[in-house]
Amino acid sequence: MNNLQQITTDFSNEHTSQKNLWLQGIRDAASERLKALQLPTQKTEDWKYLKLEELLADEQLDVQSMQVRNSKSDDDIDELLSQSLIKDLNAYRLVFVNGVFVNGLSHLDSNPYSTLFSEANTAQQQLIVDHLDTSHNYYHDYFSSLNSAQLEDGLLIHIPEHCEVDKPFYIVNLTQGDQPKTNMMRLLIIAETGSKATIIEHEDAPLKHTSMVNTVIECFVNDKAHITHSRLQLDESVTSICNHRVKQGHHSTYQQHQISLASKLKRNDLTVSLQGEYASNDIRGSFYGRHQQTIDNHICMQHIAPNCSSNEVFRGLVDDQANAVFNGRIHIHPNAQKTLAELSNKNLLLSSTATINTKPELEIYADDVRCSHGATVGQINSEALFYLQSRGIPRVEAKRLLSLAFIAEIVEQLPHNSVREFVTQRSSSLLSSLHHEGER
Amino acid sequence: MLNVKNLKAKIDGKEILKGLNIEVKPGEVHAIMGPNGSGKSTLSNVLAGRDNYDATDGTVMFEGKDLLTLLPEDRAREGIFLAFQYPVEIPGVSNLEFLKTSLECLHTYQKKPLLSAVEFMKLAREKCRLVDLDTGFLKRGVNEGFSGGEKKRNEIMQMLMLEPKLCLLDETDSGLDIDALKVVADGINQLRSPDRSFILITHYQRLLDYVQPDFVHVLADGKIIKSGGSELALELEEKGYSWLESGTEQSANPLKV
Ligand SMILES: Nc1ncnc2c1ncn2[C@@H]1O[C@H](COP(=O)(O)OP(=O)(O)OP(=O)(O)O)[C@@H](O)[C@H]1O
Ligand SMILES: [Mg+2]
Repeated sequence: MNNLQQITTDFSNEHTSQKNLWLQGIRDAASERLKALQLPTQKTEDWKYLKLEELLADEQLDVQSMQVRNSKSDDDIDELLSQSLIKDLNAYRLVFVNGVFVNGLSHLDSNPYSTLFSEANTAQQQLIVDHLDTSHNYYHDYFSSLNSAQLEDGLLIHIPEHCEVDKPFYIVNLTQGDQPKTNMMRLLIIAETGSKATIIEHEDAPLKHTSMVNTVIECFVNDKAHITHSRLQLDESVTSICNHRVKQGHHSTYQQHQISLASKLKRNDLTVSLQGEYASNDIRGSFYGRHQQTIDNHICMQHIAPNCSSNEVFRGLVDDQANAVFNGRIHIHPNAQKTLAELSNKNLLLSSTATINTKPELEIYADDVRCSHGATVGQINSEALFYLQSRGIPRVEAKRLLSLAFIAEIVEQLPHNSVREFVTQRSSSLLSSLHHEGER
Repeated sequence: MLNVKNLKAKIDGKEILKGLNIEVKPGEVHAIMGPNGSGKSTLSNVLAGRDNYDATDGTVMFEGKDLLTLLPEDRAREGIFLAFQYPVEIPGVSNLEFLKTSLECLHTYQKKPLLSAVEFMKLAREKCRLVDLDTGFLKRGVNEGFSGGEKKRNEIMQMLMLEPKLCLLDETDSGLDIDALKVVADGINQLRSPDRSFILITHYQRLLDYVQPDFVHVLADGKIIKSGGSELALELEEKGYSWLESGTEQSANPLKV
């Protein structure tokens, strides 16, 4: 029996937290759901490309709930932070190290929009309880239910009506020291009517320490609200399962950027529900896998209201024996007339032993819609490679330039100069280290 | 400088070059003319080291080195430059980044001091002006969306930046308007020096009016079938190739083995 299954059966009696009793209802409901759920296997349609039990076999899945530390961190962490953070980013910074919120490194006091669940006032508690686990009701997922069932703390970002937040939220999740337990991360974003904000999430493990993280993100983008949300998953040593759900009201926009490095296992489930008319959703993503890494992206675009638009552009780079999955589903409900939905996933296989499974799925129940989708898998253009080589650029360097060029279209869309530069720099040095010696 | 002896080459198993000989000494300008499909681009690609262009016989010596054993990037670093007949578009890699990387690679190999960012920009702008390309081109993707003529001028711009020893120009004069032809010719003439050589592959006399070749060769069916001085180009312009092809067997070519 897998560790995870063990937990599922055990925790309902023993594991139940005494902390934050006002969350008990959420935990109980999730525990109830979990009774009917099991660790997904390859027979589960949405998980069929992953040998999940194998991938998780070594993980110690005892749960480490979110915690808070008020003291300033030790020198190690300061050092780690100084070398891994995005420089010159004027932002509301919120730092977690191994799932522990580090108050001393965060700007919580000057930030009127964020609170930890554990520090929420009565009104905020009500807001949290009203929203948690309501962003999506199409299916109940095992890992997110596990997250809810063990929920002790979380981060709330609440942007009041018509408020335009003056600077971005910069949420940093660092792994330091090999972590035996699974960290539970929970993020709740509520953008009230007409509000506007930018969120930048940055997951990193600069010293390549290992851990497992089970993340749930819920975003409520109310009518006429505009959210830009960038997720930088740069932690190659971290096994991560992330459920990200977005619910949009009318005339709202949600722009997402996702830069993901694969790891032993990285699974990203993103579900968007376009609930109000004229909502628009735009996702630009790139992912990169090497060695024996795995990355699995499952995106589900739910067009519920009429006149909404969605655009998904994903670029994948897969090298060595890495295994990547891209599953992009567009579901257009009967009422969603005049939908405009586009999806493109292009992939570059950098080695003959890498694999990519890419699958757009369309379910269309309305007749007046415009919908396009395309997926390609290709190799580095040999003409371009030769052209660069003929100018004295070594093959490995030429490959690096062409790989970067392939994702440039995504990286260029990132908000803030400093974020773009940071990502460009990181991908550039990453790609130059990857092509092994002697590979011609 | 370059000595090609009895070169035979295949593309995808099909023999294209069938025993080709040519010798280029420092400072010389050679023109190669010949019918479509005769193997001119194949020769330039084999010399530059393109994959799938397999030299099956013969030797190519460049400044005493066996060229055929070198990787394309090393040939470039040794001083060979190919101006492509069809320059490749590379969206996402800016001209600037491309030129900078290329120049750094060459200078490092040649043990020359690297240029500072400012020196590099100054040089790049200057060379752009020489070939009449707006410096805005530097920011764009390599050849991305360039017109045919702009691509050709960009090849010359790169040649001016990299200052190779042996320049192979594969129909750089094709598809150019009269002013652009002059720009390309000026670019070549500017680089002419006693220790730099050129092989100009062309279909037209026009370019040779501006850049006087020392030798003109006719390449047909994978071999040089006739060589002569610059007057040969005029003769070809007038008579075409048919008078030569019928007489391929007669050994009018002193370079033929
Ligand atoms: N991949 C290939 N497989 C088979 N034959 C090829 C391949 N590439 C080129 N060839 C053939 O090789 C021959 C020589 O081509 P090449 O491009 O060298 O001609 P060229 O002399 O440069 O012609 P042009 O004046 O039209 O540029 C042509 O018949 C061409 O079709
Ligand atoms: Mg040709």
